Amino acid sequence: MMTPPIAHFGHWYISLPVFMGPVVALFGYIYLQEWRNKRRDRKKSKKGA
Amino acid sequence: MKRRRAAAAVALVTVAAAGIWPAAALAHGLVGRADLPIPPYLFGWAASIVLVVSFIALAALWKQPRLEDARERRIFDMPRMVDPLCGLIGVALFGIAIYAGLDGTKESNQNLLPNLVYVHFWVGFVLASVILGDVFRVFNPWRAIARAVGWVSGRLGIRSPLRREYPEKLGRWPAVAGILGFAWLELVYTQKANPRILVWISIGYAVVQLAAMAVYGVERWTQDGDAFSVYFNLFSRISVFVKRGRTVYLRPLLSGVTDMPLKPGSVALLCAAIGSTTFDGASNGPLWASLNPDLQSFFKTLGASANVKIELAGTVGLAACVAAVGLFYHLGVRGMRTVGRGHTTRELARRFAHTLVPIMFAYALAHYFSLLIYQGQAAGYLASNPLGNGSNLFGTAHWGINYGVISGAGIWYVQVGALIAGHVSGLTLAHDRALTVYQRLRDATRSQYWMLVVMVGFTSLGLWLLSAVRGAG
Repeated sequence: MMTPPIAHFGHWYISLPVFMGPVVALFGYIYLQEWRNKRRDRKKSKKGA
Repeated sequence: MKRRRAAAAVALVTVAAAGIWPAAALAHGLVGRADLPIPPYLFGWAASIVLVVSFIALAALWKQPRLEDARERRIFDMPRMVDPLCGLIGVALFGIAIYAGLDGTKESNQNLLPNLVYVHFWVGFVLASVILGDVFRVFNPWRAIARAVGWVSGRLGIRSPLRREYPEKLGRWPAVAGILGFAWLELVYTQKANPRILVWISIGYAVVQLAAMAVYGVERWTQDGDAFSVYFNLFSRISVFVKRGRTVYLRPLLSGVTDMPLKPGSVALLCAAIGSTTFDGASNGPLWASLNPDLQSFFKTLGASANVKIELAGTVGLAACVAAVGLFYHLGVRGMRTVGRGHTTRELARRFAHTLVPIMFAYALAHYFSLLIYQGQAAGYLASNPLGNGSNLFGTAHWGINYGVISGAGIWYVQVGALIAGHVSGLTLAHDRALTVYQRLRDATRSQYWMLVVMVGFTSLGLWLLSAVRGAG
């Protein structure tokens, strides 16, 4: 039976999100922008129709 | 719609959490070191800002492709004897290393073979290729032997009866297998430094190369099949120097990367190279320290012996890192596909694969720089005493390794600089290629949003791995 990997879990579980913070922020920002762009395009096409 | 909102909410919560956690991370003593003015995670954040600013600058100022079809300027012609002479040096060094492996001491740090293979060859040629161009091609011992045999047999009118056309479907997959095999040997195999075992692996590899060259032709196999020729050639594409025939040309930095052949296995090769370096960093950090014992105990329950359980756990780790790098790149390309029309994920993955070359170099330099700087000095005493039997051929056998040649902080700055420069180069190449793939500048820029995320991700991951190793050390 495999033991859950928790022995040093706290170490990397804290430091990894700290380092990866900018990636998540950037991903969130771009995702939001793309979603807004698509919504705007949809609205434009509806108005055009 | 709900899923999108949930994703955005998760992103925001994670960012907020990341802002709260630094103090906790430092309390663990994992990423902070007294010799750095700021905590390492701030270097990661600063690097991300540099990448975002570079991205904006590229979008605003780089409106035409500049690296594709860049001009080369002829510099000089190499004397005819350079190629055979370098080949002879390569064969001689290979012969000495084999002799040391067969007849030298079993102490790995006193024997020339392990040092030559893992430090001077594997890491040294990476740096030499980026600075000088494809130097391995001229020093490649098995290519030199095969060419000499081909020259003699040509004079005698003998043609290899085994000769076949290289299957185009095979692409660069033999090289992928070779690089993964070497990475496994270096990072996973428990007997990796044993000169007696390493020597037979080296001989076996050379025999396979010579046999493949006899079947598919020297240059054809060197181009796609020989793992090290393909690997070092990728690095040499960053260089400003390129040798065609006997003529050496000067070209803009990075422009050679845009000519990277798009063959089956090209993307896998880059992911294998970056993934193996990632595993090298991760295997010295806390993440692997927490997972490795559990994986080993799992394989022990399946009946694996002490060494086999270590190797099986390492194999899983190595495969996971290669797969993670591949997945990350694939996600970036999937994001890119949402922009414009008529592009498939497969096509984009291949057309943008070359952007991983500078990242591969950045990872290699960042992870192996200290090894090259410190362990590279072993060449001094090993040149005089290659077998470790007490000889002193050049009077340098008493030389040691000077660990004061560069400070820990100095190494960290080189690592951060390499990662930033490598990823900015990757972004530049991606932007330049996007300008040729997409009709409109706006689409080209939008398509690269996702590549920016990939580059920031690789940079952050690289710095996290390096800082974790520093903390662990």
